[in-house]
Formats: sequence, structure tokens, C-alpha cells
Amino acid sequence: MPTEDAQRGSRDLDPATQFPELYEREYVNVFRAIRAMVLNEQEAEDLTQDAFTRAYRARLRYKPTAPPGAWLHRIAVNTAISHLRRQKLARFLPMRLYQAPDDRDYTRSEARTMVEDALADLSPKLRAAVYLHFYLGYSREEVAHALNIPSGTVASRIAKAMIVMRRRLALPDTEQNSAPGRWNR
Amino acid sequence: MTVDPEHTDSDVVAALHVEVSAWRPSRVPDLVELTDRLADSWRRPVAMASALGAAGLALLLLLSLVVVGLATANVGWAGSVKDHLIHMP
Repeated sequence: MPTEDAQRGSRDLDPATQFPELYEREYVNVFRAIRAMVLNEQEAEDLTQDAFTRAYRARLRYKPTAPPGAWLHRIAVNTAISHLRRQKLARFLPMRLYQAPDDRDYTRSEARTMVEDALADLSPKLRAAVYLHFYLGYSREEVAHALNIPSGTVASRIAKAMIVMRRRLALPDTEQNSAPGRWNR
Repeated sequence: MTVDPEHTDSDVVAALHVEVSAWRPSRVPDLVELTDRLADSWRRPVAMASALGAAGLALLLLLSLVVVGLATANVGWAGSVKDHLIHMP
């Protein structure tokens, strides 16, 4: 079930010559992909701008082996993954260099919806796969290109993600709070 | 939005759609804003490298001055060379 934005499509756009149009059509989709991965609105806003800056720099190197949208989402996924890795590394820094998330993050996580909670149970790449496939209606090949994984593994991973999400969404609140927060890859 | 245990994947997808549709960036910056930032992005590293290079050269110059100053101050044979030059036929 592709969204209206995705249906309008950016398949016919060439990033090298039509980057402004691509930017306009895909900005919200890329934001949502990153938002699904990092599960934080403010970070997603910054990372979306970073991703488009990277894409703009790389626009002349685009090869039409995949649709421009998938190419753009690949850059977005890589930007988000680098950010999450940096965040993970920052936890090993001495206390003064690493600033722990403040109370606002706690409040934010309290305000999380059940879908976000279900997404949080998946690994960031799997979250992106779920979003690209079920929300944007990307094919397995396009998801594979965006995530830089073989297309054969996309189907099994998405099916696994679906099981995890269905289970999570079906759980009552009390069980959800005690459920382990480990990522499913 | 809660999904009933007996419900299918389509319920999960529907819940995902409802949730994700509500995600919108607070503002979409003008592309020019991003490209301008990119156009200026070379300035900082170049200024940094230039400053470091200048500081390195200045330090090197200072060090050579010190070395030359110290070396010429205590040369044992400087006097005999001077004598030789003065009494040269």
C-alpha cells in the first residue's frame, strides 16, 4: 500500500539534473525512514539534512541501477547507521565527554506509541526495511538496494520483523513494559 | 493502536501507516540553504590547515633562531679565526 507521495514517484527523476524536484518529493519520505531508524524526531530532522547534503554531493555519481528513491534511501540509511554507531561509541567515552540523555528523553520515551515500541524491538536496518516495504511499497530488490543487503534475505527478514511487531502490538501494556528490549536482526 | 492477537499482518501494516503518516518534519529547509552550507564547507578545514601550517613554520623559524644563537655563542675556535683574519698578511 504505497503512500500518495510514493505513488507520485520519483522514478523518472535524474538526481544529476533534477535534484531539486527529487528533494521536494522525497524529503518527507527520507525523514520518515530516518525517524523510523533513530526513533527520535529531532535527530531525524538533522540527519535528514545531512543525508540530503551527502546525496547532493554524490548526485553526479548516481547510476540508474536502482530508482533514485532507493538510491536516496540508501544514503539516508547509511547516514542513520553512522549516527547510531557514533552514539554507541560515545557511550565508551569518559563521563565528561559523554553527556547522558537528559530527562526529556525519558519523557519522550514515555510518550512513545505502541508502533514505535514495536519498531524499537527491531534493529535499525530492519526498521528501515519494514518502513520501505510496508509503507513506501518498495519491492524486495529496491529494499535490498537501499539497505545494501542481498535481495534473498529481505523477504525472510521482513517476515521475521512482522512476527516480532505483531507479537509486540498484541501484548497488553504490562507485558510490554517487562518485555526485553533486545533488537531482533 | 492495539492489534488483536488473532489479527493479521495487514492490521500491523495499517497501524504502521497510521503512525508513520503522522511523522512530519517541523520544517523542510530550502535546498539552497543546504547547498550553501555545502559550498562553504571547504572553508573551515582549509582555514584550519592554513593556520596549523603557519604556526608550524613560525615554530620552526623560532627553533632555528635559538639553535643558531646558541651555536654561535659558544664556538671555541671563533677567537682563533678572528685572530687569523686580523693578523692575515
